[in-house]
Amino acid sequence: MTSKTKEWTVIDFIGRVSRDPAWLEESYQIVKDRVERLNNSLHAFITVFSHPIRLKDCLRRPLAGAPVAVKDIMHVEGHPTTAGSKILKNYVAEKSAEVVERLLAAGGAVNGKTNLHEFAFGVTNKNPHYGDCINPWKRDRVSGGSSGGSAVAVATGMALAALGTDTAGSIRIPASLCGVYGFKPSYETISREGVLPLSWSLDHVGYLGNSVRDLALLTFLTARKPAFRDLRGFKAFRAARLKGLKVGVPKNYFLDFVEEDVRRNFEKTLDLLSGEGASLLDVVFPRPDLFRDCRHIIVHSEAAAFHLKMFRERHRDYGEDVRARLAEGLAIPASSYITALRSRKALIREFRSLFKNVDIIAVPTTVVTAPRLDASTVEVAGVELDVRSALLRNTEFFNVVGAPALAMPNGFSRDGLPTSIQLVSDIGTDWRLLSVGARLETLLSPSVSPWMKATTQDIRF
Amino acid sequence: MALFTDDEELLGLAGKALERIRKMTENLLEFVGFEEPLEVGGGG
Repeated sequence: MTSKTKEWTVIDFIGRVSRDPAWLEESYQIVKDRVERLNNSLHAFITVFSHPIRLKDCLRRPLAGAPVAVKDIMHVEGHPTTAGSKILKNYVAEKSAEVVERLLAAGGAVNGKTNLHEFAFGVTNKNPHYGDCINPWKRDRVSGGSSGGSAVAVATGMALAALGTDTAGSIRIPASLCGVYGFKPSYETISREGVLPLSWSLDHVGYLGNSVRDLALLTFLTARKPAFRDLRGFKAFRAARLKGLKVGVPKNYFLDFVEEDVRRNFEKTLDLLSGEGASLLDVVFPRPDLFRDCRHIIVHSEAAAFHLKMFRERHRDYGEDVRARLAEGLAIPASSYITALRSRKALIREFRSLFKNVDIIAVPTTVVTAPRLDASTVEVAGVELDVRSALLRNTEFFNVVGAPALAMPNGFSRDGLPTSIQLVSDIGTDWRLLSVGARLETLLSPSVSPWMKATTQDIRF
Repeated sequence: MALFTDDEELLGLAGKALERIRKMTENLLEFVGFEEPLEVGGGG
């Protein structure tokens, strides 16, 4: 890996394979060796395929056989979809999810199904059935979730990129805690067909990877929305000039409780943007508490509805935390749920009004670095927050509104844990956001994860 | 309470959450306009 780090982005991998087709099988062997060596301790994968699933002619397709992992809540035909649960341990998918079919058709190769918080209903990725997903930077820390296995697989080179889902932050939170890039596109940009739901209204499918360009390419190739699949859009995608860009920095809520090192790196990143000619403008987020309440009621209600039959029959087979959340969902009156849905439309209008004055909004992705596995609370700025609330604090809003959000690693804490900045733009302006991210990426680091960059020797645990 | 269960553990868990849900709903009710329609479906 050490001398081949550069090939660990999808785009560089494609270039390498075009010059040297033998690299395809060689890379699979490297990935396989890594999985064999690391997975028992990190629990990134629930199912590992002995050889990646791909089309025979993948070398002639855009992704050229690049190995991509799939969160184990999406179907891959003929293989288990456990959703990280005991209940679906033996469930075998009859048909692949639409996004998986698109990924294979684009020349991707699927090398396994990644660990997740049970049924994607949690943000630590502590999993009582398949093992807690472990943060590769410090083994006593959570990976974050619910797409924790995908983040760990990408961070450690067990895949070049990975599919994830995000209902309140489940792509961006593990991306932040594990030092990789994560992109939640606008709602329904990527199909949810063949993906087990947590919350139909708020679930988003997206990618984790080692560069913004990889995330842009993968989203372009597998999106369902015609607007996103417009080749002109992708061809026009390039690192944006930041001169004149108006960056909104919330004056309320998002920065109220932030770990010192996270804040320092966030401010340094703002300085980089400013140094490139971007303007930093204060914005005030309207009623952030309402976004949180709205998200909570919708997710819990819809999750309870999806799980109703399984939960009544087998609630003792769910993990303790998910069982409690589903029980709460069962108790929510329909009138509360409908009130939340009605409120959401108004909240979306308020959110969109922010973009009359700014192009993007920047906030720390998570207000803390990776919490300890045994922690139930974290202390931030002298205030004790429960881990779940702390991790969701800066991400959940953007599921309520369905806006694109990009998590980018932007440095480390003094004790060596990754920090991350989140860029958000208006609904449907995904290309704009990715273009800004692509430019910022070049200012922050080369287009590989900082974990890769920091690794001068192969991984040792 | 629309719980679909008689299990005491689940009833207990749900009961603990009710006050929180009530407060959240009241917050949203104060905010949402009288004539705000219901539109189902996700995102913006």
